[in-house]
Amino acid sequence: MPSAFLIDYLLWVFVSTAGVMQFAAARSGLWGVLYVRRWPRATMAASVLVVHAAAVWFFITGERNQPDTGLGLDANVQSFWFAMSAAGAVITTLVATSIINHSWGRNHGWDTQSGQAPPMSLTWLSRTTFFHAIRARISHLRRSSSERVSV
Amino acid sequence: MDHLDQSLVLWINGIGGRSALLDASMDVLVSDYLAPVLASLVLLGLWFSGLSDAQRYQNQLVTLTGGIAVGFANALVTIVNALMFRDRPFVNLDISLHFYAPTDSSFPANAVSVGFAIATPVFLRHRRLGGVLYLLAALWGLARVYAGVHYPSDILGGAVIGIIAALLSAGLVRLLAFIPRHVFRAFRAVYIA
Repeated sequence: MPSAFLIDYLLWVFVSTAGVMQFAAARSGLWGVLYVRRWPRATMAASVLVVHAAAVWFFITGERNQPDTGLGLDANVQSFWFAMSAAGAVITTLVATSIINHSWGRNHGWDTQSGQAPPMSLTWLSRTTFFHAIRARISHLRRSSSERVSV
Repeated sequence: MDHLDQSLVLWINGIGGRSALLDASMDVLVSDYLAPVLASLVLLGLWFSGLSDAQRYQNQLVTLTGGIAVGFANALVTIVNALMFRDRPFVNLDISLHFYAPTDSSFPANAVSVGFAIATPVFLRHRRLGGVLYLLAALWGLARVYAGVHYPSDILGGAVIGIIAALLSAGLVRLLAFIPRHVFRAFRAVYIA
């Protein structure tokens, strides 16, 4: 059973990571990763607010200077849970924004019939969503492997 | 050197208790969580930042270098700790302790080494952002002296170790550049890089 301290830490990291990811995506034009695509500047401002609010919440809701022999987390445990919580926030963001931006993401500019590989990298998420991009990649892999088999 | 160290601790620690606002700020700054989480969030943000693939790739190398540097810094601190042990200031001096009482060696400041290990690769690519992280790491160190758990020379030692770890990490990433190139290419294929 995780301690209340650990749960608070996980929540703080989760919310902050989501905020930082929104900020970076808005600044880099990755519209397919944004919760609110139309207002990138507002998203950036809200992200800064969220990151600050999460930190304030964490520090005012309990005594955080705890030894790692007691309620606190030692450096390795902290790193592990940071990675877990941050990964959870990244995955949640990619899934949620794929659902929110689903219709918009259909016009991704890649011709499924062209036979060419879909664009690589996060840059394509400026034109589509994570799910559409993954779907395009899988359908291309399937097509190219079935062509190889038929040859 | 020891005399100067002790005088500085007594002076900085002596400021404590005069202002509730300063005490509260230091209470947050000294925490094991604020600085590492903020610095790690910067590394994470850099991973997604960049207006082109080339720019983002460079930022992702900074994230990787920072992560490896933290590992190197911890390893170097472990080696130094195995060679020497220094009592904490609150053990030897008549000062107020504004933090829990750590039992490991005072020198070098492990936390500060991690802060500088992350700040250095960021500074090498983004001067302003890296400068902010250096400031954060330095304030973290100052707060630890204020709290009575480190001498100033521990902070200096931690900073030097952090910078050395970051430079080693940057060198390693440059030397083995083909590995991140291939790994990041795989990440790009699944749209996480």
